[in-house]
Amino acid sequence: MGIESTKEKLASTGQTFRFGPETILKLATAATLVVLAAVVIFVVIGAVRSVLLVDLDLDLILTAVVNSLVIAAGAVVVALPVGLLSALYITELAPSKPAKMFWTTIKVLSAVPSVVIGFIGLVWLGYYESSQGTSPLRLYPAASLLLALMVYPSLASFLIEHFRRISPSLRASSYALGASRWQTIVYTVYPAARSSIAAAGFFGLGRTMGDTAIVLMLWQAAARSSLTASQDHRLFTVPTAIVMGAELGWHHSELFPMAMLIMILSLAISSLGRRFMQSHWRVQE
Amino acid sequence: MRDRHSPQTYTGGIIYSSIILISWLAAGILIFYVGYLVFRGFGPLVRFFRDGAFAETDNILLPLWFRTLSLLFGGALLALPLAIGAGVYLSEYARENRLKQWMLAAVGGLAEMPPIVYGLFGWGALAPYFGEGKQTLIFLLTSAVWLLPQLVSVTYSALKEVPVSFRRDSLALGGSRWQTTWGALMPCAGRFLAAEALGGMARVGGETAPVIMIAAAWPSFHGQSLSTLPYHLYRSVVESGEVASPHHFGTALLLVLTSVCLQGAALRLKRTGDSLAGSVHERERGRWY
Amino acid sequence: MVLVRHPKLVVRNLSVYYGDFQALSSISLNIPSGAATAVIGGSGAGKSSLLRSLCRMNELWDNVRTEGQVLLDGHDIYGPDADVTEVRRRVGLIARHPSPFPKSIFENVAYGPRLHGVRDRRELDEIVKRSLKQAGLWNEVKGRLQEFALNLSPGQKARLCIARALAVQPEVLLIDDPAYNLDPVSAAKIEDLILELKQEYTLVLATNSMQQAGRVSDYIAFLSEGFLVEFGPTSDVFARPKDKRTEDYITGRFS
Ligand SMILES: Nc1ncnc2c1ncn2[C@@H]1O[C@H](COP(=O)(O)OP(=O)(O)OP(=O)(O)O)[C@@H](O)[C@H]1O
Ligand SMILES: [Mg+2]
Repeated sequence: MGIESTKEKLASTGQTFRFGPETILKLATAATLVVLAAVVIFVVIGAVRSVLLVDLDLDLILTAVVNSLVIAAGAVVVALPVGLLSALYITELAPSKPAKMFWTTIKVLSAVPSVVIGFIGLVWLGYYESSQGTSPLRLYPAASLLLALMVYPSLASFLIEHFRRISPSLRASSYALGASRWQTIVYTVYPAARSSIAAAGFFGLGRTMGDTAIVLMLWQAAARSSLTASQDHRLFTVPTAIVMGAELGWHHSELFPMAMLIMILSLAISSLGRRFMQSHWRVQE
Repeated sequence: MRDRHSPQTYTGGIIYSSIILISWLAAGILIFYVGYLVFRGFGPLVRFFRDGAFAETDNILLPLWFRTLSLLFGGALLALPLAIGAGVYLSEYARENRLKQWMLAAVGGLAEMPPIVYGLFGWGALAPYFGEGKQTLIFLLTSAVWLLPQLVSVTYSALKEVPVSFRRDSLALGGSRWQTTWGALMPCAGRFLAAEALGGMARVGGETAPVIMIAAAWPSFHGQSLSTLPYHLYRSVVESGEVASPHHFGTALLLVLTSVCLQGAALRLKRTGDSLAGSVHERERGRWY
Repeated sequence: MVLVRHPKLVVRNLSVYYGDFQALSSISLNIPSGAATAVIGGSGAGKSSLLRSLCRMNELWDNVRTEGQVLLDGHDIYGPDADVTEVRRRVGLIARHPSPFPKSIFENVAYGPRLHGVRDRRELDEIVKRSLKQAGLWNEVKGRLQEFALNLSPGQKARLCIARALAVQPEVLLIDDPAYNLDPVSAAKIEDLILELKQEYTLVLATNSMQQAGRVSDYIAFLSEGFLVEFGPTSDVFARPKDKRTEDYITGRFS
């Protein structure tokens, strides 16, 4: 009988070190951490070296960081309320069939790459055709809107996934007390969902801040259409500045400090988002 | 019964209809631009696959598409063994302590890092190290490094989604942790894992920043031999005089179709996975008993 | 200490801590072989903790500390040469919520033997059939072994979990709250099953129902707040409880 025969095999497990599955998994974890540490250390060392060795163009760095944040915040300000309404619509109001259709649509379209949205934006905004060139300041709202279009589906599906986790019994007990649907949304669903809305805001901020293609394409379009714009770095966000730096050799010394700044910002934003999620779960229990 | 907030009232009705209106308006914009892409790009795409090439470019879309997909899947295959190993270790073996919290935070933070950071790594570290002519390898490694933290956290959360009772019962029958992971947890978590991994790949495959950066390591070369669909779209839009050319629409449509197919497959996998887990009545999470 | 002729499990000064909280305080107990021992006590008394420490399932938490000895046939299961998986195979634990794996009925029962290296299909067929028969489920499921196990009724699920545990040929079966959340008919079936199983296996049941303990057990161990208050043959404990707390619990008076 098989069970008896494996007895001895299993009995040999002692306290001594054994090269088993756990060792392999530990090695895999260690290798993963080494790779990730390599990325971080590479950026940090580059940044420290630039800070120590060269005079940094602080103005450029500051402009890029502020631009990134302002454009990303603009996108979130547009996309978050719309996403929130869509999530409420799907989880609280819609009958199941339209809800499913809506959900599938936004979930699938959340995968559309940002280059495509940048491309569509250029086609519709017609920057290429405009003869006298475009002031970079006009590009801010355009960039925010396109980024909002890019992030809206992911933001809405993020919210929907979290709204669905709010226990149905919470809603049921609210209805059982005679609350209307609207009261249930305002007094029961919203308080339970508040922290995930905040988390969604941070999620959207991280996504839009880190995006490269849309702003890059807008900037290049503007730079092509007028010479003044090509000298003007006022629209640079951190990722675009890094790309232009690497491609054209501009501001070589600022690349790493900027990359490190965006790394820190992204870490801060995602950990803030996570903190909100955690408090959310504590509320749930 | 009527009350101040009920939908039967005038304001209630307005609020309701505006929620519905705005939601569908937003979805409508999405559907509209995709529809517009299909409208403008479908003809060129068909012509393209029929005739093999566009007149105005030397590039051929089909090889480009294959290269995009194979680079993507290649990167994922490189990252997957490490990622699954690390995810399983963190979720099933590591003890609950500070170190584990730190490791999870690091992996989660790096998974959400902007792609430009990984692009910078490819451009500044991998490209000089491997040198010119190894662009494919460099790009493979860059996407593997970018996918790695994403796949680790996907594996981790997939395993954490499995009801703890499966783990408990398998161990109680005398299974080792290893047997439990593969025999009881993975059959349940596997779908979720595959779905999330596909979703992550859809995102990585459509991203331009790493390719732009790696291509920038050799300015003369402009990524000729490395071109992927998103990079090709970016470069030809930026460099051509006419934005709205049929070639661009065809490329954009192919890119959208590819991403949407990956994401759709992910969604399907996840849905069947959901119904599987949903039929487990007792969903105790977090505690063993 | 009550004399037990052939103890299968000997518990010596067993203490279990969750972090700083002591859930079991120096329990000593001889669990007789080939009989059913009921561990009773109120909620939070430590019944499940005791059961889990008899098959080393407590170790799955990182904050658990176990002191003392548990001898299975004279060998300490916490000793340095003990093999955890082997201990868990010989001492089966059936948890309070019956939760089959999301697989077919056959795969559920075959899961354990497969873990321990049984590959031969015919042998597996035989084990599955025997275990389902022992668990009294064979007649209900014999035509549909490939069906999804989660579609069974709660009572059938409970018996499937027992069959799954029996398939690895354990020597001791620990059952936490049999008949928890079951309707009276299914509960009666489980109790009949327990009466049958105790002919062949050493059973330890955790329950907070005195009636159930009275119906199925031969020995009773009464726990209160982590202490073993009383242990003895069921009839003795019912007829002449030595401790005031046991008497209160039996008669349904709680302070
Ligand atoms: N993992 C754990 N971490 C911390 N404390 C625990 C843990 N498991 C159990 N406890 C505590 O140990 C004590 C005994 O718990 P146990 O589950 O053994 O009680 P029980 O007698 O089985 O109760 P019930 O009849 O409700 O199942 C309780 O106070 C409980 O809160
Ligand atoms: Mg219990």
